[in-house]
This record gives sequence, C-alpha cells and structure tokens, in this order.
Amino acid sequence: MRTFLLKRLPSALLVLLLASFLVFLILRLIPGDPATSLAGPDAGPAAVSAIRAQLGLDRPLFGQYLHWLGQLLTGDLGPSYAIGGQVADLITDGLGATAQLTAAALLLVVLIALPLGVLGATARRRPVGAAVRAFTTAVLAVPPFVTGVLLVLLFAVTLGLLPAGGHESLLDAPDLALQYLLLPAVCLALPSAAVLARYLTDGIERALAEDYVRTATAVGVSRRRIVWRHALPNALPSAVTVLGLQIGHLVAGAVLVERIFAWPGLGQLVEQGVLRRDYPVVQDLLLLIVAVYVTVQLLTDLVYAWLDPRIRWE
Amino acid sequence: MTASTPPPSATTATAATTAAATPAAAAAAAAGHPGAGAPPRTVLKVTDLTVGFDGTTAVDGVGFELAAGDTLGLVGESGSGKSTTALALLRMLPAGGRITGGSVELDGQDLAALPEPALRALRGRRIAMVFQDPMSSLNPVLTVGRQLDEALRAHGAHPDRRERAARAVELLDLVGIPDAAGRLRDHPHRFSGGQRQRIMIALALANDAEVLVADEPTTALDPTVQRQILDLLTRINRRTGTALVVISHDLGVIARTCRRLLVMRHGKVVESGTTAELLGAPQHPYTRQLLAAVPRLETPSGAAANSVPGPEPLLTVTGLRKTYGSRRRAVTALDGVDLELHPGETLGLVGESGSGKSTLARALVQVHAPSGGAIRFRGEEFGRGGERTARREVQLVFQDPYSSLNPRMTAGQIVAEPLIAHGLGDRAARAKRVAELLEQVGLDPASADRHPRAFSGGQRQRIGIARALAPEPSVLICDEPVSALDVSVQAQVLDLLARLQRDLGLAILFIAHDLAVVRQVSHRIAVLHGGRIVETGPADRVVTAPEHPYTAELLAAVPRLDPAPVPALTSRSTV
Repeated sequence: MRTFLLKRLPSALLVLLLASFLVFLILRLIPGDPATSLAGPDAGPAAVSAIRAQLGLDRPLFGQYLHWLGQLLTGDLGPSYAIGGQVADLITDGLGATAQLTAAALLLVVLIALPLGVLGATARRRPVGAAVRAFTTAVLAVPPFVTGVLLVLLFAVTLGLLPAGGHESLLDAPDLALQYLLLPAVCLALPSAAVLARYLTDGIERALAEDYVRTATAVGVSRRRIVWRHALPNALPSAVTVLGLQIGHLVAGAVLVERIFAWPGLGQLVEQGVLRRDYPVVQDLLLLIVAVYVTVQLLTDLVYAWLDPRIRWE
Repeated sequence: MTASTPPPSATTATAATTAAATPAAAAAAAAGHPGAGAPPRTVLKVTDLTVGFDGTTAVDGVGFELAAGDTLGLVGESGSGKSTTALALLRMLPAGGRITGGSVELDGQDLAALPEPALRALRGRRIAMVFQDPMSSLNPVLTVGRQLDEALRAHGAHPDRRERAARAVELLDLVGIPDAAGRLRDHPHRFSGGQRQRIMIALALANDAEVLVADEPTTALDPTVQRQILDLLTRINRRTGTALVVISHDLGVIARTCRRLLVMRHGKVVESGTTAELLGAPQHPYTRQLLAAVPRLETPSGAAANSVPGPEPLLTVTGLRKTYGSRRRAVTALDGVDLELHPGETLGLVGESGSGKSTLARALVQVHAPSGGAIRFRGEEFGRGGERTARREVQLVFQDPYSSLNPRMTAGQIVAEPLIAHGLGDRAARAKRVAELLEQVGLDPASADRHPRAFSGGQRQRIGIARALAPEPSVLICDEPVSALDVSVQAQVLDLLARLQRDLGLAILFIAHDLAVVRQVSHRIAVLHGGRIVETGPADRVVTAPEHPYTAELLAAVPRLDPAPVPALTSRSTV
C-alpha cells in the first residue's frame, strides 16, 4: 500500500499544481477587479491604481502567481482583500461547519443508497421495485434547491418537527445540533444517494446473473444471504468509484444547500469572495476543494483494491 | 444390478482408484453394507421428467433410476437437453424454464413438487452440483475459506466457526489442494483452473450429499487436468459412496467415470444401459452415429491422402520469442520457437493452456509483435516486406464461433469485411465473391443477409472460415477451430477444411488440444510446452511413438472409448 501511495503522490501533486494555475487564471479572466470594487463606484483612477499597487496587482501576472504559490508553501495565506481578516482564519471558521454537513450527507448517501440499491435489484418485478425506481428518478430530476424548499415546507412549516435553518455546535448541544443538521444533510445527500442506488441495483443485478450465484444456490445458501453476502460484495467496487465521484458533487452542492438553510459554512465565503473579487479567498478555497477531490480519488482507488482482491496496489 | 462382486474389469482399474477403493470396500464388507448381497437402495428416481421453456419442450419424458453409490452418465450434443435435465434435478432452471411434468424423487420425496424453502434445505445437503466453468463459478471477491464456510453454515450442521474452518481444511485436503490450511484465505484467482474445479467439488461435498450432479465438469480444462478431475470424482465415489451423475458431450469422459449411460437427443432418452453395453454394441442408430463421429486416437492421419505438401516452406519461424509484462516481472510466452509450414500442409500444434499456442497464432497474423526471433513468409522476413504479403495471405480462424462474429453485422457483411479492408474489388465484385465464398463453405448464398444468431454453431464456424478465405489466403491459422462444436458438427467442419486444402492448396496451422482430432487432420504434429516446441514429427509417429515424455503424458491423458475401468457400485460412508 505504501508503494501504491508513493507511486501516486507525484501525479496527485502535479494535478494540484495544474489546478492552482487554472484557478489563478480563471479568476483573472472574470471581468472586474478587486481594486475597483474596493475603491467603490465614485473613486477616481488614481485611487484605484493606488489600491492596485498596495495589493500588488500591478505586478506581472506570473510574479503574482509565484507569490501565491510561495504563500501556499509557507502556510501563510495572507490577508483577504475585501472581506477582512486573514484568509486562513476565514477558512478555518467555515471549514468545520461545511465538513460536518458533507460528512453527514456522505453517511446518509450510503445509508439511503444501500437498502434502496438492494431493494431495486431484488424486488425488480414487484411494486416495491417500481416505487424505488420512481423515487430515484424523481430525486434525480428535482434540483436540490427545490428539494430543500419542499423539505422545509413539510418538516419545518407544516409538521413543525425540525428547524428551517441555522446551526448549533455539535459539542455544546448535540441533540439540537443534529436537528439543525438533518434537513440540509438529507437535501444534500438525496441526489447522490439516488445515483449510487442506481449503480448498486445495476451491479447487484449483474452479479445475481453470474455463475457463482448459481453455485451458492446449489450448495443451499439462502436467497437473502446470496444477495447480501455473495452479490453485493461484487457490486461494491464500482459503487465505491461512483461514491468517490459523488463526493465532489457533495462539496459543490454544499455551497447551495448552505445558502438555503443558513448554514455558516464555506459556501457563504465562496459567494462573498466571488462577488467582491477577493482573489486570495477564492483561490485558496477552490484549491482546497481540488485537494479534497484528489485525496478522495486516491482513497477511492485504495478502497477499490481492498474490495476487489484481483486488483493490486501497484 | 447387484454389486456383490466387482466386475473383473475393476481389478484392472488405475492404481489411484484401486488404492482409494480398498479401505472403503473393506469397511463396507465388514459392516455388512449393501454391496454384500442385498440390491442397493435407489436414491434418485426420475420419472417422465418434462421441462418447458416458454412454450418449447427442452426435456421430454426423461426417466432413470440411480442406486446409492452408483455412477450414471448423461451424454448428448448441444440442445439434447442434458444440462437442462441436470438443472431440473435441483430445480435450478434458468428464467423461463419450468418443470411441466413428471417427478424427481430423492429417497421418495418429489423435488419437483417441493416448496422452495424445503428444496433449499436439500440443495447441497442431499443432492449437490458441480458446474462446467470453474473460472466463473467461484465468487471472485470471497476467499475460498469463506465460500466453503458459506456452504457449511447453509445447513446449520456446524454451528461453531472454528469447527467449520477445520472441516473446510479437511474438504480441501480431500480434493487434493496442497497446503489446505494455508490456502483458506486465498481468493479464487490465486488457483489454477483445475484447482478451482477441485474447490467446486469440495463445495459440493461440504454437506455429504448422497447425489453429486456434475455438469460438464471437465469441459473447460486441459486433458491432463481433466484426467485428474475425473480420477478425483471416481475416488470420491469409491471412498464416500456418493452417487454420481455426470453430464458430458464427451463419450470418453463418461466412459471413464460412469457404470451406466443415458444417451439423449432432442430432449429424449434414445438409449440407456451399462456403459460397456452401449459402447460395445450400440442399438440405436443415433448412438452408433455419435460413436462413429468421435475422433479416435487410433485412427491414422488422413492428411497425406488429402494433399501433398510442397517442397519449399511457405512460412518459416526461427527462434521466436515473446514476453509479456514489465521488465521486472516478465512472463515468457514463447521461448525460441522454430517452425516450418509448407504449401498444402497441415501442421498440428498441440499444447495445454498457457503453452503459448495462441500467442504464436497472434504473432503469425501480426496482432502481437514478437520480442525476438524472425518470421519469414515466402522467404521474406517480417519487417522487411514479408509482413505486407503475409497480412493478406495469412488468415485466422477463431475458436469461438459465438463471440468472434459481430452480432450486429450480417453474414454477408462479415465475410465482405476483409475484402473492404484489403481494398479488393468494388461493391458488385464483393457481393459476387461473398456468394461464392458462402457456397464454398457449404452455406446458402441467399443467407448472406441474415445475422449470426440465425445460424447454428457449426454454421457460424463456416462463416468464420469464409471470412478467413475472403482475401484468398495461402495460409490458414486455425486456433481451436472445432473445440466449441459438437462431435458430429466437428466432423463436418474438419471435412470442410480438408476439402478446402485439397481445392485451394492451403497450408494450415491447426492449433488444438484434442490429439485425436489433430492426428486425423495433420501431416505433421508439433508439441508446444512452456513456450518451446518439445517435439515435431510425422503425425502418426508422434502419436504412436512419442519421443518426448511430455508428449507421452498428453497422450496418456486422452480419454479413450474402451470402457475398461468401469467403476463398481460402492456403499456409502461419510468423509
């Protein structure tokens, strides 16, 4: 496993470097400039160029890029342009809440997809199977901002069971924190769970048609055990790959869901950063997302090889 | 049908079976089991079994009785209903199949009428099954230990996990897996094909079933491995008294393992009796026809009468090497192969899986570049001009007539494809040539617009041959061209190849594992072993007086039709 990681590390770092370059470039390509937005609509060209000089924006682009890379390597991310405060502090403030939300959503994805996926395969010809298929299609077709509003309407407004939005620290009041967490996490998890369930159903159905299932039947293994212990393990490796890809969707989706449920995570920081052209904040956040993605892919490959003994860590 | 004394032939059985039989037979005699007088109990009684598939009848009124410890063979060609019969015994028919009549009585209990949960309790415990393809019949992501554990716990006989593990080791040991305890944690891909089939047998034996149904248990295996597996089945039958039902298309396999024989055709039993009777004096015309079609090792080569090879070699291979994989863990598939193929000659190439047969074929048709050595065609070396003429003149016929034809293309399109690829003729000329080729291989030219699924296996192989003939080759590389076909169809395809050689002066490299077939069609035989040619010589000489010990070993493994080692009835004891 160590050799596998050592082998993959250089390419992972290369991806990060490439991503940093693209992130840097894309931000500069967005029309508008932090100095203009900082100086305000009434400021003259002299004031704007003074601010540009102060922020270092008058230097050549490549120099700016190298400066940013240097900051990343030393770990000193520097001050934000427009939002105020150190970038590192801004990110750490929101990181916990966002991590909580995505982790909860990830857990829910697995908890929802596993039974639905198995049910979809085993109850294919029964009404339950049709219901599962209808549900996954519906969830996939409706975007999270609609699901979010519907969830709030049902559970917060009509039933009054859960809060419509907000956040509570998990350490101070765990029960309250979970109540706040549930709706946004479900809202975030549903589309990914639907995708994963579809893949699981497909994988289990294919495994159930394999010769080794016939073997298990012939030795007298029960149907339930065949599904869970013989077919499911064969469907898992490809499902894990899909799950790895879905984690990207979860992180991206969190931005939107945080907005609906007033969740104090990184989503709002991204939004503000983009609107006010706060280059350092947005650059660092986007690169963080890329880093998470690269790590997840690496882990996915490790888990895949662990689930499928025919693959070796090489 | 008494088994008081073993028939005389049993005394001449192979050393392995005799050794294994002795203790059990002695124990049985001492315990006064059947075998010492009383007629043996019937364990399985199939009466008028009928199986339907969406309206068509696949098995039509099959009936037989199986005594405890007896061995019964079911033989027939594809579509005869033999495998469907086997699956119907455990009521494990694929979707769409249903037992529409008759009964399968296991000790008086009708399996055909039993509810599913009760049936599940019997599967593996009273009646077990071994399937054809050991590569796909074991779960790739579960360890062998886990799979044995699953079989053992399925019937709750061993509640303790450690006890089950011990029993699993015992079972692997019984079927001859070396270092059984150490291998429980290995996954199936770490075992060879033969070992996997042994593990399948261990799974089937896990709960001491009285009846073991083996559906084509050795079809996917090499002859020497096939022999070992058949010996194992016989040994288990002798030692534990488990009654065997062996389903096979290969009469040699049945002759080796079964005391009684059932010949099936179109879902019906056409003839039954003891194996010795049926092979010695077949009554039904179909049985006679089936026996006549089986290629026999004793039949001398018919190649010389068919065509006379030219003096100058057409294709010359010298010191051919091929390695796969990275530098650090290279696998050598071909290790200095020398061959010559003359015009109008058939060179038989035999060897087991992994010997490099298919690698050689691929190198000759330039799918793989060799790692070393040289191939010359008409005196010109590959890489120096020879490869260009060879690309058109050396053509390949594939093994599997099912997967080697694109199901979305018509027969005509398939045959025309090489013509298009080599830029031969315009549309009208191609259509004319396709009709000509189909006629040449014995197919109706009017069938050119039909898709492969509309053809039988033998007809599909004819399409494959027509495709290979399209660019007017001088060399045909046939990679196991008849091993996927029934014996009667096999004979027709072999006749076709002989006729084509006679008419067109083709040189044929005939790659196969069946030595009887190879002797029949070849002028010379080359034996490939571990990437090297260990022996080359005239076909008849190689078979009758092999020079290399490996050739002798291959010859010894060929199942014969003489029903010499007919196993005697044995009484039952648990393993």
